Amino acid sequence: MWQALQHAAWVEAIATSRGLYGLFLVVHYCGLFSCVGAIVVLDLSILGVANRHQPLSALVRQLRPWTWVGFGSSVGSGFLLFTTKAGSYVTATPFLVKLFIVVLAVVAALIVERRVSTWDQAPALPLPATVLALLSIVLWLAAILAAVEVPALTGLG
Amino acid sequence: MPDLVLAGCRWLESTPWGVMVRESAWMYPVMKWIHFTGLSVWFAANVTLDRRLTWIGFFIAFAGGFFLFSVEATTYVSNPGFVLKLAVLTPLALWWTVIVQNRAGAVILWIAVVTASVVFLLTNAGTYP
Repeated sequence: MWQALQHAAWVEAIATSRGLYGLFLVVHYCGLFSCVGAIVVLDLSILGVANRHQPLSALVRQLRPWTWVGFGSSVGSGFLLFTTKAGSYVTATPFLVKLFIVVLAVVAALIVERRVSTWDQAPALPLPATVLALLSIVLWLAAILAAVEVPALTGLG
Repeated sequence: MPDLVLAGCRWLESTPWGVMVRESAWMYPVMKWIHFTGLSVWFAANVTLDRRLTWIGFFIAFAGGFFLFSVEATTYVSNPGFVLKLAVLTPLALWWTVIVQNRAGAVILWIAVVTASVVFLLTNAGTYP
């Protein structure tokens, strides 16, 4: 199935065009910087390290589009990049580890987004907020580390 | 490239850290990791217009990028995409995000920096991706 995808005509068109492949790389990088950055900045704000004078509920409203537009464009372009070597990617452990960590990190980000407005009203930062914000930062940093290890360990990318 | 720049690049490649990152099996991807982490923070700090965090993100990205550059400086500096990114677009993006602080302009500059970097990646003659 993945081999068939890799040899589909439209996929081979991407794989053999440096312009198209490059375009999807640009979208992938811009999207992931926007997504990971927005999430980490929100986490740092929850921890009181950044944006100290702004309420969290206002920050999350401001950052949310950057998170999810970035995520969507990064996943979309990432899938197109994936198709060009789909047969090899599906059996590459570092790539599968990266996907798994991204799924965990997205779950953490969604929980933080849901609950952040309740933390805003609390007199002091509740313990779950600190734990979730730290966990989210660690997971997203792990996702980037896993991502750069894919070409380093497998030669793919 | 002017001789002085090339001499500087050769020196960077021969520094202990240049040699170390080049010869290590794991340090190059770790420097890429630091570089990308810094870029993410730099980008998003600009969304909330947090100037201090913008600087922090920039310096993290710069530190990682500096070590990556030291690995094959002479090769990278002869790539037009890289030169455009390093000498024109990155200083412009820094000025824009720290001094001007206008989000729309920053996004356009950002896409320009990433595009130049990808052009560099796809046309790079060096051994490292």
